[in-house]
Amino acid sequence: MEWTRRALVKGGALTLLSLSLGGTPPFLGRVARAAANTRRRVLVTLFQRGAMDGLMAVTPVDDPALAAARPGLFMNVTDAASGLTDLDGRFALHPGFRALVPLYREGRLAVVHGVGSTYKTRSHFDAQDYMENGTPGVKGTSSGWLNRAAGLLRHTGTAVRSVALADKLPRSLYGERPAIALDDLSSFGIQVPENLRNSDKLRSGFASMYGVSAKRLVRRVGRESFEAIEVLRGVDWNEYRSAHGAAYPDSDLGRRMRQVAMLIKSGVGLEVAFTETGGWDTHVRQGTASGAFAARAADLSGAITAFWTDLGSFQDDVVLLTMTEFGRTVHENGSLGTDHGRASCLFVLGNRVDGGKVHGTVPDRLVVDALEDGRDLPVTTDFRSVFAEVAGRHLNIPRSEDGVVFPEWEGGRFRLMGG
Amino acid sequence: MVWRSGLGPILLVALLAGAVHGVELELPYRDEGLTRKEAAAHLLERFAYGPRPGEVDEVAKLGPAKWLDRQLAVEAAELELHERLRAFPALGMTQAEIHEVYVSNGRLRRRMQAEGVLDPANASREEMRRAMAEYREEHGLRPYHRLFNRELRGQKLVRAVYGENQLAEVLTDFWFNHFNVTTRNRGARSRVLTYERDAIRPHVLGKFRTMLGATAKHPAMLFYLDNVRSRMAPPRGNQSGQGVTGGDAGMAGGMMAAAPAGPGRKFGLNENYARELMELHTLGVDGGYTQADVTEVARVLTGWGVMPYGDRRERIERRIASGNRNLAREGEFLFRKRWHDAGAKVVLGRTFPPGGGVEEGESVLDMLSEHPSTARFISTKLARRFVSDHPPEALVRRMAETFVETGGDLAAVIATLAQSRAFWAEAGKRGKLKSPFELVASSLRALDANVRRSRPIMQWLDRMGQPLYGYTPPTGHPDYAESWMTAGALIARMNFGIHLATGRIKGVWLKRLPKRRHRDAMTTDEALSVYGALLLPARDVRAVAAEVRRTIPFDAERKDMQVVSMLLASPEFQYR
Repeated sequence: MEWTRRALVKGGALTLLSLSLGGTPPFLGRVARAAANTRRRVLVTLFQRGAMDGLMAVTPVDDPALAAARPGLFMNVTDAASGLTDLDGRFALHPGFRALVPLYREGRLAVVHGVGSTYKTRSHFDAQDYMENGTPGVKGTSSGWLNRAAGLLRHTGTAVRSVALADKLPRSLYGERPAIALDDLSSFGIQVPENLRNSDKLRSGFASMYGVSAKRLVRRVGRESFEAIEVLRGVDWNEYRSAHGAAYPDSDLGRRMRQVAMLIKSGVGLEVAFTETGGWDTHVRQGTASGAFAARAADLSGAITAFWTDLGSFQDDVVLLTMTEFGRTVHENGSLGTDHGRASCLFVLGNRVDGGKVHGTVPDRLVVDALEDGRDLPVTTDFRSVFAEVAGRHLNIPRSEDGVVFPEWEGGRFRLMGG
Repeated sequence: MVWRSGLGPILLVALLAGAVHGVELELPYRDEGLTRKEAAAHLLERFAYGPRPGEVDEVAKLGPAKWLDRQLAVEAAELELHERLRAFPALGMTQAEIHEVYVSNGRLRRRMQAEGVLDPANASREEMRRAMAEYREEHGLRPYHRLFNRELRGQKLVRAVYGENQLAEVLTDFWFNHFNVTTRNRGARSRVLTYERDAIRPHVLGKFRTMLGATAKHPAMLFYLDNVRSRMAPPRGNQSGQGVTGGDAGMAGGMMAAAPAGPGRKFGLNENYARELMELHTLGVDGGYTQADVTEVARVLTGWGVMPYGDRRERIERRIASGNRNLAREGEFLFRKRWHDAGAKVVLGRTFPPGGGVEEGESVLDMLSEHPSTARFISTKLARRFVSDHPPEALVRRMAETFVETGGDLAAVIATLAQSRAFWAEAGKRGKLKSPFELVASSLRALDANVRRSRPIMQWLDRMGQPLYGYTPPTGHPDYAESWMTAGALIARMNFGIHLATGRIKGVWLKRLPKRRHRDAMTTDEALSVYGALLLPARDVRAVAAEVRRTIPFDAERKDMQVVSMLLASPEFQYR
């Protein structure tokens, strides 16, 4: 039997709370109802911070210019020891991502190459911020594109509609709509030390203080907070067992992706998820079939495939989108690494994705004249056109609202999702 | 004699030049039904990072007006602060020294490679790490990230908690946020510490124009808002119209165009700083300027840049010494006449004839400082910070009048605010939500904390939504309760309170709430009386107390910790 929230709702938690308050606060009843086994479409986004080398992830197989630019990093697909997987005769997948090959062959996984920002900056933070606020070149946008997208969903959401599995809320989720960041589902909420013994009473005391505050803002946000806490505390996360033999990597990303799966399968109302992984800023000794890049790639692909396996029949509800702030130089540097560049590639996974293909445009020969500024893989696809397509098609956001998700953007969606 | 907006500028200058003693501010708190003690508490909530134990009574005894008077003159004697600031050596260094001492791994690697003492291609990671650590040790170099992660952030916390000149500290926070820059910007990162120290802090109770000029010329701002890459636009040729952009300089147009390589052609006009200078720093978005003014101001500011480091610095110093008139240096600020657009310009209706130089920018800063929209915009923001999210129009108008009459004297503007009834009418409402930093600082002050490490506190600030010096938009944090109060951030606030009260924040020791104490040391009522007075002095805490009594059973352990957890996490303590 699939693990679902229904099977594991802890009747105890709500009862205990209501007893200590001398009656159930009105919102909790509503929460309990709203959260009851909601099954929604979910967009899962995964930010690779540090700028992934797209040319190493999905490498052109027959480009002497690239081989010449990267004497210490280029991997040859004809060399069996390289471990590369030929994807389509033109591109090959780095061995660190090998776990993704079956998903690609099944047509669920797509690659889009040459993706980046129209605004040229090689600063990690600027580029990450622009990708997350969704307005390249405009620093003043205070909300994030995912928060704006969540605001366009036409049905009522629960308190855990938008969740970041991260130590703090990412810019993508800044904004008016409720969004929470959490590291660990089982400890989310009011963290009272257990040795104080009456921790449950303390928790309800907090809820009650906010429930009676004279300030409207405090009452509203307090309610949202305690709703989220109660929704998440209503499930016994410690009882969760991954399904179908899914084996997550023992890493931050593995733990985070596992929790995304838990949130989806518990039916608490998750619709927009964000998580992130670092370590892609490979200036030094990037490695080839093994090394720094390969280790990051294995972690990422292992987490994604375990997540997908774990989802089981929930796969139809989910699309996963990866992103990274920019790519890396075509030429390797003097430390067997690569420096900050422009375009990279990204992955999109889902049952309705036009997968099994490498989409996008990469110059046939990465000679200097074909490069942006004579050094970088040129940006040929605006990241917004991919994000708008994936989020829009999957979450049923009409095209006419793309300007809300990406203000002042006039480009069109990048066709990537099937019927 | 009374400080009033009607005082002439000359008299005020005399007052501020040290004649402040004996000048009695008139604080109309009694008109709003407040006692002296309540007035003292309100001052400490608004013009300080909250009261320390006993401080409300001290200020009441000294007299609220006298306390504010001393704060405006920044002459409270420091007790603990200087000793604590010794932990941050960068505070005593010039920008150039900071560059020499705080070296990133990347720069160190390149330097060692150039000196032939390291070959990254043929050394294992472990060997590299060791060689680099030894090199650092040998040359007295510190890790780059320590500059901003530990020193820049740490000093802000230490000043807020232990500084005696609290008004100046609170205002430094306000003005930094007004002229926001961030360590998340690569160019600005190593320069934020001197930016706050040199361009903001010394001027927060001085003239607005002085601070504006200092920020305009500081490398942190020049990098952050890209003026360093703004040069005379290339010859227009067949292009026409304004804002011709080359390469990557543009914000809206021409973004995909590859920048032609080669010196001198790398950049074009960049309007980023010019726009924010008017929109965010002076006039305000509706302050009466046009897009054409933005472009013209950007042209005026072409050539405003930064002294480079290393060999290029020495070359420039030599050229200046040998009488090169195309370069003008002022500390780390460098004006390059050859990058300056020498054509005629029209800014806000005023014409600048062709052939001008750095003085054009100075004139524009003068014009902007003196503009009535600036007086209004600044007064509105100050009133929003110190009075309420939506301050009364009449108060803003009076403050703006003072601003204009005193030539932008910021102490006089604060004095006008403090002497308004509107300011005192807020005391009972407690209507300003504390920023996460204000929450942290006020908690630590009220409980008399000994902060030995600041990193764990910084992590809490991240979670609560205020990574210090890490807010990227040039707008600074919006100063509205709604922008801080979100579900995730509120939970983090409550957890911060619990962690602090139960001694679970590393490196922080609360003198008023020892971790080791008998588990039955206090009853709930005793704890409420002791800690209610520390955390919510001169306030009606009956509602909170009722919740606390209802929540904490008589047989609970460490009721003191539980009471403090609840008080810190209470809605009341989130407001000032």
